[in-house]
Amino acid sequence: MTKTVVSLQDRYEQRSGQVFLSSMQALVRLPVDQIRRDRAAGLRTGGYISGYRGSPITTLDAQLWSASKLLAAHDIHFEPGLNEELAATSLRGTQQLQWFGKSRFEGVLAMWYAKGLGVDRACEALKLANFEGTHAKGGVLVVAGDDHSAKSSASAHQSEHTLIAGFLPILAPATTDEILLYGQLGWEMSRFSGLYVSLKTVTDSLDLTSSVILPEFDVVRPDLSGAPPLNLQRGMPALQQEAMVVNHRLPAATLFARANGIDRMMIASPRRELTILTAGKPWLDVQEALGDLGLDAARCAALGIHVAKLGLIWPLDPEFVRGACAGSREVLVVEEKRPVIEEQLANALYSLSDRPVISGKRDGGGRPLFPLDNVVDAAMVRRAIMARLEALGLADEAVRRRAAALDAVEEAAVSPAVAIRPAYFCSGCPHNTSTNVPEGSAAMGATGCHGLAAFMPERRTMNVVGMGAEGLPWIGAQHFVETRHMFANMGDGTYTHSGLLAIRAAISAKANVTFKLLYNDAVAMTGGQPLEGNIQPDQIVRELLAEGVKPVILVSDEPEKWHGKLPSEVDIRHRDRLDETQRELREAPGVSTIVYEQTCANEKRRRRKKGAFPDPDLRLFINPAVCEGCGDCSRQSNCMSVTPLETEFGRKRAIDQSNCNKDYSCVKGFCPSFVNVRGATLAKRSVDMGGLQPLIDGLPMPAMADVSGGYSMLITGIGGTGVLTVGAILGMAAHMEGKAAKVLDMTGMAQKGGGVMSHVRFASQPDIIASARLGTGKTDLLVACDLIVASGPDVSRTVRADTRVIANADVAPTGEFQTKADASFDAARFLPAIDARVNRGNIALIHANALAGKLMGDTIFTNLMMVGFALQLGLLPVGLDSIEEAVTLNGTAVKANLQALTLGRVAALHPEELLAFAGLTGDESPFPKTLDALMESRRAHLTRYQDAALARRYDGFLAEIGQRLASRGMMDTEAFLMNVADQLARLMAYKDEYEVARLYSQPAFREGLEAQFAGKYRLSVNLAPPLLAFRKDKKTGRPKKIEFGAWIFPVFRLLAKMKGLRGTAFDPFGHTAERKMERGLIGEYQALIRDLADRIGADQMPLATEIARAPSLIAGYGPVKEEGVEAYHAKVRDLLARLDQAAPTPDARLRATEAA
Amino acid sequence: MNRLGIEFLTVLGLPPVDFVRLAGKLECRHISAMLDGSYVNPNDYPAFDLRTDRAMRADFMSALQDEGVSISLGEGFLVRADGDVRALTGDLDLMRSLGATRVNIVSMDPDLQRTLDQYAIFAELAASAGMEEVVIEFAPVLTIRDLPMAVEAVRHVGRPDFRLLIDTMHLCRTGGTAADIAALDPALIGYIQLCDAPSVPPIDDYMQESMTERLSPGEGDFPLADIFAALPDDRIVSLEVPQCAKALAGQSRRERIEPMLAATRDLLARIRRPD
Repeated sequence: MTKTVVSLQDRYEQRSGQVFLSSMQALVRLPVDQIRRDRAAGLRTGGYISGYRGSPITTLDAQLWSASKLLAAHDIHFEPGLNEELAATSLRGTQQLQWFGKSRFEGVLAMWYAKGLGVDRACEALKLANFEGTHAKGGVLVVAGDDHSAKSSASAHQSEHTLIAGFLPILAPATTDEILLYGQLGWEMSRFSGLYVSLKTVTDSLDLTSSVILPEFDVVRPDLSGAPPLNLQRGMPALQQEAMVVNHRLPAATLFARANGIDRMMIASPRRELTILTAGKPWLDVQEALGDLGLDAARCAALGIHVAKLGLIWPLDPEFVRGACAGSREVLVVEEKRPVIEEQLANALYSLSDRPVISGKRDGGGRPLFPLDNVVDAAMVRRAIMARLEALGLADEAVRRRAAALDAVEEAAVSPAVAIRPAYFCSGCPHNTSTNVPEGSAAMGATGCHGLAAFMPERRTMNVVGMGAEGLPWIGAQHFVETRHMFANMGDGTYTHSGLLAIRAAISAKANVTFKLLYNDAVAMTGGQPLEGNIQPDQIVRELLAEGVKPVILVSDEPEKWHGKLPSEVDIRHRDRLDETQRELREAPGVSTIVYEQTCANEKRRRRKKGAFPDPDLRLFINPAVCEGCGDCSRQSNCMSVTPLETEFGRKRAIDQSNCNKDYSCVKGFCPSFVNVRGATLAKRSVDMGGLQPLIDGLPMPAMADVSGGYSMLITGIGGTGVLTVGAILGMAAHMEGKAAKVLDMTGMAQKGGGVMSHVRFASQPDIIASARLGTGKTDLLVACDLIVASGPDVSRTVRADTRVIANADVAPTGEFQTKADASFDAARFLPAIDARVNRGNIALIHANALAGKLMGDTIFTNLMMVGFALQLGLLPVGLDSIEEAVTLNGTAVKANLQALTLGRVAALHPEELLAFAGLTGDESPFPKTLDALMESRRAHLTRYQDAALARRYDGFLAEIGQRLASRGMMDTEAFLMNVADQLARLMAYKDEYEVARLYSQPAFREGLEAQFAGKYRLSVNLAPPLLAFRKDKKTGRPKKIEFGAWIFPVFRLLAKMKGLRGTAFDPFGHTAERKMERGLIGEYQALIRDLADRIGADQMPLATEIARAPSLIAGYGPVKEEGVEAYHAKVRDLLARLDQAAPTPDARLRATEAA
Repeated sequence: MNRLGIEFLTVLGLPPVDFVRLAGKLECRHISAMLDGSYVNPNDYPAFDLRTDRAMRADFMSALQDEGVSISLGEGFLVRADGDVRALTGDLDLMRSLGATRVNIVSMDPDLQRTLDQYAIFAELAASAGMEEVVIEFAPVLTIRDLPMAVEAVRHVGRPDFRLLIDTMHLCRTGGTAADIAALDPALIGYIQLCDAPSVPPIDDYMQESMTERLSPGEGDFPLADIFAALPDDRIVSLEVPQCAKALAGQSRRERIEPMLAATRDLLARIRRPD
């Protein structure tokens, strides 16, 4: 049924029926619902929430802040913890309320949250509090977020054993519905039993947005007559506390669970052969597996399969499990990681005379069944169930057929990853610069985005340690190694959390260590939350000085803002002096600290959008004609916004203005191609729909995919590019149509440009969708906003031959590009992995980035364009109206997103027309494809560069080489000659001052600017001219680049006209060593090619071609070019040596002579 | 007499004290002065402002005295459509305090009549400030575009201390000839700026060309000998030859300016005029 009115507030305000919300939002709603229940029952309660963020509970604090009015209206106070254990202890006060004074509340319900690693570290605080107990009208819920697959954690973890160590009953919700249900029952259980009650959640249940039926239930409080008072009793001796917990409170919790039906029989068969016992997320896998095998309730009953689902997994209710399992031949326990249920089950059943066989981690014969590590999935569960059915003689032909079909799909080859899209520092991220260490030094990694440095070999950074223990392994190691000093990174969030103690420990241990305190003014790793207590660098440096750290140096991208604000002992330096500063401090004995202050790039972006951070009126533009593609700007900046640009003259670089965060480090690349643009806005080409209107008007209303049996969709993309919005919008659209949807976002380090996926499942009713996670062969539609992620094995195994694929043909480069200038990001490199499993005819490509960039001025609109494309092809299970309404409800860039949606629809039916409208050429690479075309291009270039005579000399040389080869009967010389033609032209047209000036004077330069920028902007150029070569850049040690104002452009035009002086005695630029070297290289290369042309045999042609291509290593300007020349000479030497080793055989020589 | 000078544009933004030292080394007794830095600045000299930098003013004046150099022309005075020259009184006083007795003024105000009125007011202000002379410059990109207009303006203001500045590039590029100069009353000419350039503009932006690239006397196409033969022989001849390309190529100031001075001396010697 279509919902008539949907608003974003429904998720919190609607009291019954179906809502669409994320699990984080469910955790916000949870205490609100409990307060509502309390008030309805006449109980005046307040609420208190504290904890510490960490994946998979990354954004709960942000959600709580955004719902602050709602919380305040329900007397709920949110106090983010400084760390987990401190937060846990602060909860105790809410249960001890009466001791502190008079209160207008009868009780306070409290909620604590942390990721599993935080549960581990807070265990003592939780246990002490739990032993003391809860208030009868308050109650405490402990939410543990476990990252079972360690996607975003320093170590794999599960909280159960820690929670058990703290004696906390564990409720295990499988779905968001159950988070809401168990959460409220948890508080009731806590009030009833006097215990802190935990809610064990995992990534798959927390990264979920889904249609949820709001729970309606009554609480049953079983009779406890005869039991002592269970609630909080201050000052109780330790042994009495222990006795209270184990003898009275825990049994009470079990009793409460039983009375309220928390453990449930899901499929009860009259005939009991195999009982499956499970809980939490594995229950979804069981459901999925049974569905895959065609085992509905009736079939299960026929085969004797019995399914029980636990809600309380510790302490296990022995009465329930004995009832559920009695009479079965075997009980199969499905749970992840180390057994919790299985061990308790064995204990509960062992005394039964007719005890069943228990299988789980191992089968009845002792063979491994489910792993003790990592996670289980539906396919694994299906195979286990199948194995047990076969072992028990329960399998029939029908179930065997279904299992075999699925086995076949799973066993089909999955291509290994062609490339990966790892998380990487964001564009303009401070850590691009701050995590560098000087030659000869190493650093110790730490929790936070900067931890990515551990994956960048050139940064020599060790893996992270636990939060607050940064640098401490060095304290142990320092006595036993020759190394005398170590750098230790520490984020500002960690410093606030607990890191200051690590510094104190290092001082105490007299370690030679320099802490690099990376202050970026936000907890960027988990969503850009503010630092607790809003601690500022001036406070930090004072604390460090007070601790005895010496020296303390503040390094900043804007050092001037700190002058006069810090104690005089603190030296303030520009970040360009980081290397120098580190070299200095590694010689300083004892503990020193660099406070590296630069605001997080993402945070800057967010604040700029809100007008809360200065937005410098400066953008950088790379003149592609001047750019040599050397990659020095990428090396200097490590920045993802420096992207490849394919041109007629090969790969150059461009700045992606859509995601540039204005760090400007790339300008340190040593070349004159960087232009400063001020006063510009990005040229957002508002699409003149007039031109497209006939096509839009002619678009038929698209068909809708059928959801009656469920429909599954997988979306891949790049973190931080809005790709998760796609799933959110489609899920909301389904909700509006009265359908059900589950969206599982798999983000990992998504904010850092890593690969992300959304698994989206649709159905007519919520209960049809079991697990949101798509298993092997389960994807009906793959929307590959990013092909690299889509071609990875995790995605490609979910597709099957008839899966439909919509792929973005524009592949954004990965971090690989920053260090490997020639890495390929052509769609053709990634498509085969999908091709291998999907019928080719089912794959449709769209140049979404190019279209969005060109027509809408921002590649962020790629995502909605992809949605429109899929919609128009009839591949979405929701209608146009609902999508438009969901986009409107989402409220972000509504008009532009609707326009992108329409453009995507046009692209689906009229791709060529739309590309033409956008002035795009599709797949056509502008690099000439044939020798003739290449020579024609370079001939024209050389004529423009100097004159026709130069072009004739070029032609003449190539003709000569062609003849030399032909005279020896050499065939298949095109590749060799193509490389000679390309490289010789590059060497002949070396980019001296005249050429740079000419290239800046070409209309193409202005056209390139106009394509990207609008408004009346001012230009300047960054150059390092010979006259200022004595000035050195503090960061690079190379001649410093100076910004030259707009007056330089007429100078360029005049200089360009002076090109006739090039190489003459009157050439004022020609006498430099660089120019002499460049002129020398031409003759050297020609001699090399002549020599090759005269002696290579046919079998040596590949090697000769490689030699001919070797000058491609010579790129860039000044010192970069010098390094390139060295590399070129080394490569030629190496290749010539190989050529000589592989000299033609006597036979080959004879053939060559005969041919001649 | 030593009537050779070096204009501020020639040294491409060199700070004042260094400029004086350079002029002294090159034995030039005259320089033109700006109160603040130059937009054209290939050497990336530090910005300065003599209005606010008292110490620099003192150093500048000491240097002028040490080197026996004087300010032959105070520059930077401009008639704007959105401003009034009365606002320039402070700058005039400051320029005079530095020793300047002559200033020039140009107009960017497209309103010719207002330009003339502003010129008249400026002449009065300059005289009040103690200036001995105001010269006006013409150029194709200014309100006063060419020699005839400039002559008309001088006559309009009608003061003996209000005269013409002849810039050889502006003269030649606006069609002015030696004969036109010869036809003038020499008393109307107050100051000469010398350079050479191609007769055909290499780029279409005259302002930018004249601000950044000019040629040393003899390197271009202008009939400089004829022009100098027509000019009075007792006016200061100051080199206004910005050469950004050579600066960018690493040529020092002296490397650029010494040949210009030599070429100028040759030129004046050829027409037997004193330098």
